[in-house]
Amino acid sequence: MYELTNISRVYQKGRGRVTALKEVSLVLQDGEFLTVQGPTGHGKTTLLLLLGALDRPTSGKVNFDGRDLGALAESQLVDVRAQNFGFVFQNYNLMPTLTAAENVEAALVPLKIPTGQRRARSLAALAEVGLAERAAHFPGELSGGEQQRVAIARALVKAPKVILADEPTGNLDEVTRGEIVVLMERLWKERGMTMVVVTHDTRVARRAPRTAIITNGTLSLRMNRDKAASDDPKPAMSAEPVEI
Amino acid sequence: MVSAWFKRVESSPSAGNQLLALVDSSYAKQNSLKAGSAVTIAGTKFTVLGLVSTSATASAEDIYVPLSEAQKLASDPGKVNTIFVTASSASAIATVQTEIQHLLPKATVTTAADLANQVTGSLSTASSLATSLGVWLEVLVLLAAFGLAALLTTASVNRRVREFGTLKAMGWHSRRIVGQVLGESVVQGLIGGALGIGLGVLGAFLVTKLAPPLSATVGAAGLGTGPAGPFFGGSGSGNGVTHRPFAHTFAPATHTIPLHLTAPLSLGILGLAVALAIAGGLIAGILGGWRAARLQPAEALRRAE
Repeated sequence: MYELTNISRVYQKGRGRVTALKEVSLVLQDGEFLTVQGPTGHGKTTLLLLLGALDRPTSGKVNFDGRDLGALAESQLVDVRAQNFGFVFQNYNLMPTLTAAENVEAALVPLKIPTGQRRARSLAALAEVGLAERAAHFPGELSGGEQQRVAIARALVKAPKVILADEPTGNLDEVTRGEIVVLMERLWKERGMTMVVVTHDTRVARRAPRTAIITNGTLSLRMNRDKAASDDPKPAMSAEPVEI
Repeated sequence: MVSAWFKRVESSPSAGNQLLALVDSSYAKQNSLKAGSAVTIAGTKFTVLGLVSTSATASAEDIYVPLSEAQKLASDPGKVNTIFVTASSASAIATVQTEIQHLLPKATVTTAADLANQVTGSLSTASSLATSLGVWLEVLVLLAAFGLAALLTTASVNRRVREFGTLKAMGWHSRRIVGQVLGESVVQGLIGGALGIGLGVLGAFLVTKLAPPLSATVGAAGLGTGPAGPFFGGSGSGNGVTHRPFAHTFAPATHTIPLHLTAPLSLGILGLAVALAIAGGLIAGILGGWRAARLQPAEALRRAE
């Protein structure tokens, strides 16, 4: 599904330049669950943005389903995002003036789905994350965990091929964090979609079969051996950690 | 009328050999003159016979002397510089003007209508100036209002960076986001327009209801005539002049016109207000939408995080 080849991303910051990623290569299979770990500011979010077609590499290629995302026009990238990717952010990023149901519906607007169907799918998605009775509430009336559930429902409502989550439990307490992780894992297993989760939390990181460790813009892979052996329904991937 | 009065005074035995003058009351007040005072004009001493009162709108001279004396003082015996002519009727004025012009080709012949036109022209020019100034002020205020609306909309877009970045991440095209911002801005413009029209109607009502009444006083040009009666003058006879037999009141005729301030409204004005409100919303929305469209989702989400 994903093939990243010698990706580098350099930003202009003030008078200087910042190299967020240095010649990173990675292959992600369909339906894989990958976590991304590393210190703050070392390139985790940059990798996520590249995977989500929200940014373009300075050099190298990001191939998604055989298409070079870096070569697509902006309008094509927008369509790829609309059809294939669901995002979950650390700060939930819900629209404060929309209800929970309307926030979830917003993800379906670019797909030109009729209003009636949008509402029905939105309510179904909220039910799937256990918030059917909170559909008419505004984000300000929901707890942090509930808001993140709405964000997850919004990411899932269009049945994307890929879920990209940037620190989805970063703003939650320990109990809620665990609930969200369990929820996301369950949905990943049920739907068979590819899921990439950026996290600081090693306990969250180890729930995936493998973890990409990003340090100073370079990537290495860690196999979470116990997880790979017992929980992963997919065919086993490489048993040895791969240094890239 | 003044000269006729002068003739009667001069022909009176009690006038003696004194040179007599009438003095405007305002001038007299400024120079502490009264009946019996002496005034010197071009080295010649005149005795103030009395004071003359004119309306504020009439053109008044300071001192009135018999024509013959004025001609002597000007060393122009037998000559005058201004002649006021009264026509028998308004319809005869043009004919009279033409005849005088023919008889005195070097003279400038001006009718009351010409003077009125000059005044009207001046008033018209002043009115145009005031109108132009008003129009320019309105344009400046509108530009300032539009500019402020655009700035506030753009600032709002900057505050909603996370929101727009998320929408772009979900697959919203820039044009849809621009449409969102534009729609919000137009609705805000309409709400503002409705409030503004309401305030404007209330203001117009209050101006019409509460404005203090004004009045304009119009007087006859020059000295007017009035019924004979007592007028300013000394009661003493220190200079051998008695005043009372020659008393004549020069009272100007005046007419007061009441003016009521109003702030008229019309459907056209209301329609223009609505159109301007929508236009303001559109301009602000276009600028804000352009700002939102330029947001790069990665940058927007980074800034938000």
